[in-house]
Amino acid sequence: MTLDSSWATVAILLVCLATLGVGALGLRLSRTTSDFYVAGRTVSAPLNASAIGGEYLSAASFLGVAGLVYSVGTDMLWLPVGYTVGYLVLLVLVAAPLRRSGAYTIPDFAQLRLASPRLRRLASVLVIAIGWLYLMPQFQGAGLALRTVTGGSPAVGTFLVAAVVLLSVAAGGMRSITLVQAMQYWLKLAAIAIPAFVLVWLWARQGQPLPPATSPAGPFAEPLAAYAMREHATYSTYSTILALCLGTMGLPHVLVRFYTNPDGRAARCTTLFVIGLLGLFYVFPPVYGMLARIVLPSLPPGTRPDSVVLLLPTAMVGGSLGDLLTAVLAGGAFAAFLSTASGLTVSVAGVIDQDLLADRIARWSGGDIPRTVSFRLASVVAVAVPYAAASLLSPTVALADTVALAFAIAASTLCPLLVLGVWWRRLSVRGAASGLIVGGVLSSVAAGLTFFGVVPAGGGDAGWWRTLLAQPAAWTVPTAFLVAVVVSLATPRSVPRDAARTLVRLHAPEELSDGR
Amino acid sequence: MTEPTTPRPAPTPPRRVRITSPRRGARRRAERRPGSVELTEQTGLGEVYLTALLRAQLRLSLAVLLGVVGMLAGLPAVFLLLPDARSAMVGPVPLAWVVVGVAVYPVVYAAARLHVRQAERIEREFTDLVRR
Repeated sequence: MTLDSSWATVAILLVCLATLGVGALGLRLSRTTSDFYVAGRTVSAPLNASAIGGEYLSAASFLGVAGLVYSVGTDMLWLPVGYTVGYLVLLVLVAAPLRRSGAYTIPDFAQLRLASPRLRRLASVLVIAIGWLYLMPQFQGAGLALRTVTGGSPAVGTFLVAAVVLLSVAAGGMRSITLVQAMQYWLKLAAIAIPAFVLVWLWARQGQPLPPATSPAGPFAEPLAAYAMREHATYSTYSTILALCLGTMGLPHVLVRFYTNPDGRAARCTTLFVIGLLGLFYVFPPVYGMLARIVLPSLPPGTRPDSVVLLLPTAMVGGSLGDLLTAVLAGGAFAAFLSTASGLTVSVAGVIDQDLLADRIARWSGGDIPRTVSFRLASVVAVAVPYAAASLLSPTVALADTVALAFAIAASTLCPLLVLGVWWRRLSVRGAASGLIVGGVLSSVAAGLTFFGVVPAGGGDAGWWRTLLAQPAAWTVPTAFLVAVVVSLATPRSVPRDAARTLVRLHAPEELSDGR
Repeated sequence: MTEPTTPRPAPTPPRRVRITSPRRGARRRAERRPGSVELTEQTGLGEVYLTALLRAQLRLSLAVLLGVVGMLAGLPAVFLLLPDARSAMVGPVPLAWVVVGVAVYPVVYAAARLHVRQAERIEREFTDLVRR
């Protein structure tokens, strides 16, 4: 299964070097704490949108979508749709108000809107947990990709990504990350689109064969056919769409990016750009899944479906063209790991720094240690934990499924907080906290049970349980919303007194609330 | 107060002196900020303004969401109810792939664009109303 690995190795190293190089360029521009966190809030909409796209398109998008389309079938086409519609939901519900709130992070928003330090701490814990859960598959994916294309040990790829991310984040903070991320989007688009065009052209020349219509498990190319191991395809489809649509706004690295817009209107424009960029990208990954189903009826032993993108070119052409395409795809995949992981690291590190480290360090050192040092320390913590988890736990769940669980947790916790916080005057501190706790406990228990494979295999009731736990959003999100609303209505005295004033700030255009 | 004085012919009228502030470049305080004051000071009128803005924006957001969600939720339902649609082909590619894999994205983009335009229109109208 080892291919001629030299080209792919070169591509991977080039991507890593380019990331570090552009990061170093940003380092010379980033001077203040504000630069560090949110690029001084002076990033233009197209640049910011490219950066958001670069950060958002993770291992799950680049490798995982094709892997799931390959192994599960048409129903998985909904994954990229959900990833994109998540931004539409974010646009119409929270984009401009969140930018106008002027907060750096989700915990900042919680404090600003509900004025409760304890609620802030709860939100911080959730942001860190979701960030770590999302970082883990990025590191695992890196190991997987490196093993597939070079035959090297997975530990090397995992370490490489963790080290590059740590270097570029700790060195340059957000400004360098904005430039790096914007570059990564276009790199990834090119890396997935160009090989796709070549492969489709080859497929057309080979007489446009179709995937086997009836395989032992069922028809591959038909929707809702429960092609492979998935039971209850209809429920799973709807629940996954819900998790992706509502979870996007709760992802830590997504929201941090919105604070780099100069104002609310720019935040909307940026989101619109992002939707265009994502739609463009997501046309391509399913192409790989479908072509692989035609060309590779069965995977070599010991390979996971997540690596089909990297196996496809050599299976279709072989020779140096195949090696070249593999190298391009491997470079793109590494760009995906690096960009998502650095975006997540920046935001998780920002939260760790602001809420856990900075005050303590300042007290302990009497203010001698500058903020940038504590941010660097926080980014070490932010990378170390998921790195350890990715190295110690052997991956049992597909990359895109792990990411979908992170989305489900975000959708059941931070999404109710943000949506109710932005639109509902009567949200109380207790209501918000109850929603966060109930949604968080339910969804993370479901995720944990899925990870460790607690519910045994088997049909009937066990099958339903497994499905409900693997795609929990359909029941955890409504429960979290309901709890938050009911408790808020029951505790009108814990509604913050200046809720109406805060809402004015969130919704009124800047030129009004600034008094300009 | 003072005894009436006979109008005397004024001596040479005082020279007009132009007095300027040394800080002419400083930003002048806004003379009137009617609407925004109502809003931030939470008067009854401000409450009315805020409610109107929130409602208009929320109505727009929900309309866009319902449209898109209706479309997305409808697609699996169509495939569930019409078995023929599942196996239909467009040229060499299954219909479901063309619809879910490609055609969805321009529609989502169009919906987002519509929302951005309308939301900005609502904000413009609100600004005009409050500034008046």
